[in-house]
Amino acid sequence: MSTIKIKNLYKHFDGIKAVDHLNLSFESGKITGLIGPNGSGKSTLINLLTGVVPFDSGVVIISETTKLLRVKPYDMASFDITRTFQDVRLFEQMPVIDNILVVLTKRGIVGSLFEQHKKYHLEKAKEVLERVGLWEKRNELAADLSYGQRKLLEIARALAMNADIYFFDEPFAGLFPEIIKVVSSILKELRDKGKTVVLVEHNMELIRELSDYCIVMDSGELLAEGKPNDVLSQKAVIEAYLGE
Amino acid sequence: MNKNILLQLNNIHVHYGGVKALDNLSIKINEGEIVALMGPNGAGKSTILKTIFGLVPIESGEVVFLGNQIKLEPYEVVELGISFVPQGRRVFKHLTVLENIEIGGHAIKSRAVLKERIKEVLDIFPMLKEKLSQKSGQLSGGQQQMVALARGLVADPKLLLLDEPSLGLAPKVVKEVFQKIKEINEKRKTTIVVVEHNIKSLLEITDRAYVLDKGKIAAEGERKEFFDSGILKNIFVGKI
Repeated sequence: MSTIKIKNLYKHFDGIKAVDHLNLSFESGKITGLIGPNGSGKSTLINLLTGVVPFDSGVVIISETTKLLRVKPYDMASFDITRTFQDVRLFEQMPVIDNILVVLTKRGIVGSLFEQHKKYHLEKAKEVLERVGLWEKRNELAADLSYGQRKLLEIARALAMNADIYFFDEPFAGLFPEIIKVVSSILKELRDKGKTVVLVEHNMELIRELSDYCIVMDSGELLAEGKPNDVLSQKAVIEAYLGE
Repeated sequence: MNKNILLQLNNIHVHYGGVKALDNLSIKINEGEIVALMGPNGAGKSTILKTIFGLVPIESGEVVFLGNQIKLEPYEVVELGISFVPQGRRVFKHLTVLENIEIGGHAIKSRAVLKERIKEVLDIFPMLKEKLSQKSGQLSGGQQQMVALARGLVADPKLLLLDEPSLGLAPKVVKEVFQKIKEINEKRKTTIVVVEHNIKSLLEITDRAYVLDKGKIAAEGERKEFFDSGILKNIFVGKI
């Protein structure tokens, strides 16, 4: 299974240091909670690691061997990395099931013209959609789903990728308690399978429940790291992030 | 005690394709209340807010505001004193923070009043003060949420519709936002309808709540009734 490390990663936006020479490691078989105040750089870090935003300097190291000075989003799948977005990104005018099939079928220029979904693809799509409770909605347009259902569809799409490294950017935000249980169990299953799971989340009950390790960012820098309960009781973390 | 009814939705039907989003739904909101809309994902909570604001076409039914049936067009609804803070922020990413907030106050004719209102909302979200000239698209998700809230508040509306105001906010900020919502309600007598999954924080500030399921009202009552009955438990275990 893949691990992912960063060394001296740096990114600035118009004079603001979004990620400031950060050194971190995300281990396989663990859920790492990535927390911090709004604007501390959590989502930016995930964007850098998945190539959505290019970094200024530093190195991303995948499985100890692959050193990347530049990360391209379209290469992520080949490194077995996938993610979800804080602001859900779906193919809005496609049915729910096609949003899954699109990541299951390999597409070249010719292939996309004569695409055929085999039994395997449909079975896999059914499996992940049933896992998040959206199988009954398979023929509805993604645009017609509620916000929570859209988040679930994005999670299902990430599951269909069968990646080694998963970045979840606030997957629980806007979800109803019963659905939170479903998503929690999905994350635990991924961990139990030895996957690397990075979870950005503001719900501290979930961070305590799910995270094996916790990283706290503030102003693009590392504020604290360690076991969730230890980290969340630190004075600096309470002052900067949790409040009294 | 009789309260003045500010808003009524009477027998509203809304469809998305073949899906019934609101099914003969009727609710009423009294002046000065904070009313929570709760329920599972896809129950129709956000659709209620969008209906009031004229963002989804209704098949039948009527929306009555201050005793008059209103035309469901967003620009007319804004003129009546209704503001909407949508789910997922929807800030204008290429405009600055200040420009985004100013848009929320476009119905305010006096520049001096607008300036004063902006000052007031910035006191609620002091973090935004130092980011006024920054493009909103450069802000974090949580900061964009604050911009969206500030934009909704700047018009000093009679009715404020909030869709998931705590979404993406850090715990410290969530507490502050809920306190501010209560403060706005008490000081300005703003009536607030709020959709929120953070039920614990929500019920601390609400007067009444409706629970929706599949486009219908499954339960309604005063805050205390929710704490005393098994309704909350049913919500949490997914029976509603």
